[in-house]
Amino acid sequence: MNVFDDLAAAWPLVANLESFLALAGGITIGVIAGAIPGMSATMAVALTLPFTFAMQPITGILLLLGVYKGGIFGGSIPAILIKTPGTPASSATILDGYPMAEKGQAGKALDMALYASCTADMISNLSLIMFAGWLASFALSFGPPEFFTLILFSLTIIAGVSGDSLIKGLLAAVFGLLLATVGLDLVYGTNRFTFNDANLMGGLNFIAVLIGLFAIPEILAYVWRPRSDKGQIRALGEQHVTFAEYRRCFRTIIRGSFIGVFLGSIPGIGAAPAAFLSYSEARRRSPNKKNFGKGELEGVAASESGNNGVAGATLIPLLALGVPGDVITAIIIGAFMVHGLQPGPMMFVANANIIYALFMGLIISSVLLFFIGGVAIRMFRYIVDVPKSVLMPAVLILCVFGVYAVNNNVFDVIVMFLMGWLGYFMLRNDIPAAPFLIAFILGPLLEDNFRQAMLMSNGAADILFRSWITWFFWGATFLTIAALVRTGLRQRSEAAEALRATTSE
Amino acid sequence: MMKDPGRLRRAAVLGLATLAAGMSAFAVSDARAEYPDRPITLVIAYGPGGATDISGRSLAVPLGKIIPQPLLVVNRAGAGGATGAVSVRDAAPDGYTMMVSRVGTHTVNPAMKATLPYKLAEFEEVGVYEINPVACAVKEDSDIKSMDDLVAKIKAAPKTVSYSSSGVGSLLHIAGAMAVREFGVENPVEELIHIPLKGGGAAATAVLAGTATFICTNSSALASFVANKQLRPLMVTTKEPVPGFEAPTAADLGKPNLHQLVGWSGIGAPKGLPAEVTEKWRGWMKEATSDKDFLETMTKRGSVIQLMSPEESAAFIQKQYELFTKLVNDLGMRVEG
Amino acid sequence: MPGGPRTAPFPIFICVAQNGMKLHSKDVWLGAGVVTFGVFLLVYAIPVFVASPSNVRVMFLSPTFWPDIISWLIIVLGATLIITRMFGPPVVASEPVDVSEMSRDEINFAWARLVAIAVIMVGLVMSTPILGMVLSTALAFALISAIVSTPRPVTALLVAILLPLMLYAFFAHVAGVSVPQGRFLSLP
Repeated sequence: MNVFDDLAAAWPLVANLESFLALAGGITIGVIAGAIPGMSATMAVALTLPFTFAMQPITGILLLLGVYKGGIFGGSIPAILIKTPGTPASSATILDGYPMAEKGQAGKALDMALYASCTADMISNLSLIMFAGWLASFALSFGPPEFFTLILFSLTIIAGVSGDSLIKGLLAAVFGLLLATVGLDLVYGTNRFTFNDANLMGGLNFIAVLIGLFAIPEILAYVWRPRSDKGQIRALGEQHVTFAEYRRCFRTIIRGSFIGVFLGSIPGIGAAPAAFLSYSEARRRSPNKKNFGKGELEGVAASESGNNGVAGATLIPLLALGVPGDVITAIIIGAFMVHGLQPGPMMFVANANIIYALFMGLIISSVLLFFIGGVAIRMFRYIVDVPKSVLMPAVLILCVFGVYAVNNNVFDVIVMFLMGWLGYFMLRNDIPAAPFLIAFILGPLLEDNFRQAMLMSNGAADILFRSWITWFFWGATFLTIAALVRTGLRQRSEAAEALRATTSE
Repeated sequence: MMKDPGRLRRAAVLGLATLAAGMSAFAVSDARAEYPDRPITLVIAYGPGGATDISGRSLAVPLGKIIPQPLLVVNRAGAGGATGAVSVRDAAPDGYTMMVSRVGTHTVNPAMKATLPYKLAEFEEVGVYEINPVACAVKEDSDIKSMDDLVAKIKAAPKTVSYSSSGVGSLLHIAGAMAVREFGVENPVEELIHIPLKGGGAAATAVLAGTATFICTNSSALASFVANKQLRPLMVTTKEPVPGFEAPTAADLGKPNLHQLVGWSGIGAPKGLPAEVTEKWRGWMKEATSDKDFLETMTKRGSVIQLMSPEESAAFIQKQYELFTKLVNDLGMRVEG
Repeated sequence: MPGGPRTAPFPIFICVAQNGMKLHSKDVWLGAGVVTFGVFLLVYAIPVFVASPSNVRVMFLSPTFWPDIISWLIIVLGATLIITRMFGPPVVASEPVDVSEMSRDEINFAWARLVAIAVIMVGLVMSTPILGMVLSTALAFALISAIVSTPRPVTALLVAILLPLMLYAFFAHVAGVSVPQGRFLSLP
């Protein structure tokens, strides 16, 4: 049977008021939860799950998917407005979104975040529908050695977000790697830097580190110079994204979407690395390279397309293999099973109508996200009008509540404050925070997959070259580093020449 | 900035006023009302979406209707459940901080980890309500068709067969070793490769992707893969067959010891819970576990709902703990340091 | 970015002002601190705080393998930072250094404010189990407003009272979080 017949047969399952309400309600819940720091999309989905038990299978699952998609977009709102990522996935959005808000272009940044999100979401959904089978078989060929090389390659992103000094970016990154080792060892279960504290055994909470690193230093910087904003009050920024600007960023959005689709279809990576990878690719290729990190519209487009590109694609391993790609899809699998559905290849045979109804629901969700997101932007963007003297302490309190909520643990609040001081120290010394964060996310993945690979091979290193995928990423890593070194050397000689020119004058 | 005295005074007034506003909102609660007179917190020591979380939250739905005060379900995850367990142990045993006790936090971890910051004896149990049968499975296209095939393969080439788990000190970690030992592999720690992954979902995927040869875990975690003919079950550890799993039971295979190898969830509390609180919970649990929707949801997920009394629960947990401790000692699996 | 080179990642600026020299030596000190820390990790922290079982067969699998690599990276990068700043072309931050435009008095007050907010943070964490999160955060808000001598005391006061209450209502009743209640005040 052809895909379009399936789609037609499934249409009545979606085309009813309940489904639309579920989607719209889900997206609204998601956007709000995503916009509250600490309330991640994961928590919102987990909290919504029990309500879906009583619903029709499709309605319930669409509700959860709506929350998921809304949550990933919603995270960009506080990232842009108050430099606090609402969800981990939106941390890359800070890099250019917040500087734009500082320049009075918050409206524009939010618009672009929404447009990029919706476009990427749509592309991600279409990829799910068209390439699910192909990408799914690809996903299963990723074992620990392949992951190891992919993550090694992803670490080259650090160069793209290091700002002015690569050395300092790398320094920030190794400290991120170090901090990520706190906790129980994966292979032997022994303690590493835990000082026998039960809280530290669980490792440092990711969201606490994230919020501490970005939001708190901003507050401390304000406390250092409370009046530094006088005279340059952040205007609401009535500017909107023009069609020309959207078209300028279109290539970036498409690229980001596919990076998201690719990383989303491989279980276990998540949206934050996708956003960063998309960002660093966009920066590498953009003619406005120098403006990145200082409020470049394209940077917002890149990171938001990267993280939303993941949303639809994580359903590829879920539907095609029954494998959850991240925690959120693991919860959604729970919802399937409660309704007696077993996601996996057999579902395409046994419950094809449900699968196609979901596909259509997803497409509709991208459109609904566009409208609901637009309303949300209009509501939230007045935050920029709040004077800093009120906003800054308010952000602090919001972060305290939000970070506490992640694990219901005051310890995480302490971690957030300490990370805040570290972040402020880094700010004062021109050490970029983004490489620290990327290393904190990717470091454990790199180590775990390396050691899992070593376990598989009893310690023989040739397993790291076992397939063409590993060779591909080894090559890509090598080429990227070579290119970086070349640019670095060229700049150095250019700078030396320039210096000679000035001194001889 | 501090040069302006008016500002400073205003700021001081501001601080005081806040304090006053806060004070005026004090609510006086009478100290000795009947339990419960304020919301009860139910700690889940694992993250959202996991088996424990879904089980605990599903039970909280009927419980919330029965308990006269709000029931707050909170996740406090980390360190294989240790973070959450310690926070409950340190809470007052007044019945206002309870936890979803689980095979991982209450038997496997205490049996395996020498440096665990808590002990099983520091908890009390008000009722085990759910049993999860454990199943062992391999990839569908594997040439291993039975437990005997698996054991033969391990013996033929030691250190080539691997099993995946959701981490050191998880049920999966101990289950893989225990299962093959029952079938005659003398020293599973030396002859098998244990590949720890992050979480149960990743562990099942590892078998699917060929990273690991087999997995022994809760049947509910494997149900969809078995139904989709991606994984082949070799055995279930219960006496009764598990619906959807066309595999012999441990009883069929003549290994009654394996009946102890099951996952379970219960409601636990810090040691020293007043008898009246335990009694209250006994009644609530009885009512909640006979809720029709709860039963249906859980059964569909492959769990067996079976409420044990506090005494039965304690005995059941103690027995499993001793079995695991003995196994860990015999195999030298204890995690030191 | 006047005189900035065409491409990153090493946008290098021409050192003209004293500012640049200042940052220069600051970076050298930073590098020295980093190297010291790396050595401390290798020599003391890793052997003491990272437990490694005696039966580790493969060196790659030891729990200390990865921390050791990181420590070496820290040392190498710290040393590179020192060397590039001492012998390489001069480097200036792209953002003007904040300190330069402030008078000595202002800087002293700024440090005092930083110390004050550190004390507020400690106080917030310590008082949460006693006062509850709502009261503690309300107090923290008010105190922060005080130390930055807010130009809008009335608004700040209102927000200090209302915001924690609103957040409590949301997190406790919508998100199902058990917000610490405190000994004196328990909210519905």
